[in-house]
Amino acid sequence: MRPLGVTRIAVAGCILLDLLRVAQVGMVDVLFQTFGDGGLSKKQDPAWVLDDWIGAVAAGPTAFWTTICCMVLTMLGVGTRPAMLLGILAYAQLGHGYPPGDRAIDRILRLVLFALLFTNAHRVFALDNRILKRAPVLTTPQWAYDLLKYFIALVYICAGVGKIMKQPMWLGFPKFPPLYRIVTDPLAGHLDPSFWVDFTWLFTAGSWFTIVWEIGAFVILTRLGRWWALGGAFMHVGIALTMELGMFSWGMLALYPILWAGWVSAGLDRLKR
Amino acid sequence: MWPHVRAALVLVVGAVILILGTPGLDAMQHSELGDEDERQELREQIGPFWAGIGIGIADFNREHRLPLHRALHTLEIPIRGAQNWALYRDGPNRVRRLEIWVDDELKHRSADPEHDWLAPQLRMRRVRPMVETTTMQTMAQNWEGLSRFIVRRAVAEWPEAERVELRAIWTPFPGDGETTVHHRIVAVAPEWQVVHL
Repeated sequence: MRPLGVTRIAVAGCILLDLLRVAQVGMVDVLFQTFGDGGLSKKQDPAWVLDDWIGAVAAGPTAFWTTICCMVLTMLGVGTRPAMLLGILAYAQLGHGYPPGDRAIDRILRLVLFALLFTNAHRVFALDNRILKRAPVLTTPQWAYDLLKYFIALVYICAGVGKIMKQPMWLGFPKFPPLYRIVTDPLAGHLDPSFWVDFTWLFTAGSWFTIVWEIGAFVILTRLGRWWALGGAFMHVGIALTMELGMFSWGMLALYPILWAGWVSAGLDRLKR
Repeated sequence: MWPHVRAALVLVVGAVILILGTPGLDAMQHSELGDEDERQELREQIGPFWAGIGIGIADFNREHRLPLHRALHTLEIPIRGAQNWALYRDGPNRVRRLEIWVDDELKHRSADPEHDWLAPQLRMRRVRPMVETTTMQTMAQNWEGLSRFIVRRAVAEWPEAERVELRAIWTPFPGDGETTVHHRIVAVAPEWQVVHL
């Protein structure tokens, strides 16, 4: 149970910091506004209902700050389940209001938080336990872990198969491997393409590793899962160091307590002693 | 009774997740391999046996999976959990940079620390996709919104400015070859209407 509590806190924390970054750079009123009111995106989803309910100008900031408050409450474990549900809905409204900025990681984290609603993740590492004077619940049905691991594995397998379908040279020896072109892209990467062109063999190896690891992510569902997940952590840390993708790597790593449940529980036991 | 119902629900959820995000199929379009010319081209490329498998998969996706996907789509709208896990399928085929010029002075160039005006905003993960499409495509869907934002910020910071220009700079890999200005977006005082050139 405790790994799910850690995931709850980590996921909410990632979303919170990601949204605070939007506020820090002064983009709340620009991103979450309709195009007619000065927003960036020409299209909003029909499901962007908040602007019908409370007006276009208030809708974006309302959804934004509601999500932030709910993520704080989710992290602290105060009114956790209602906060999680309201936070998910408000966060989804932000995506409906500004679709280009609602990326795969946002959808993944919303789905994971939604799944955690049906577990006892709110009953551990929660201030509610003190407020309501109740004992934490340290167990949860196994299906919760299994379903979440299955979802994570499916995401990675889809990513790997999608890569190969789009660009078979992920498993080739091209002059400019896909991974090289991705991490040296000035729009998103940190690496200089002119400097790293002499080391494309590294990126060829990395491209192969990425595909083998992603398509092999079904191993996550086996007893070797925690060890396989080490490869995923390596991949995500590498992405965080070489690219500017915001919360993508950290959001995915926030799910890894699920994959490393045994180690996380053992680690928490050691901390308690 | 409840444990059995719960087990069935968990199975249903697992099946829904798989239908909505089937590896490989989630990246296929409805029209893919629907055309006989397209199918024939595939047969010529990879042989009738493998083409038959590909066509069969495309037909299954179009006739069975996508209708189920559309039916289930309503369920995911409130939480916006649409399933397409095509994460970074390929890199760009050239080095692309966005340059922002204000009155013949370079203010921003992608990944250039000496010209980093608006870099925190333009490199932010929620804005970067717009910068990418605006730099990659001549008439990206959101070029107008992005350009308008940049122009307004430029005018606020440099009220005396007369002209703001966005340039999409393309260079073949590894980035030290011939550079071309693929397309531009310009706004001129006093109207500051963004125009695609």
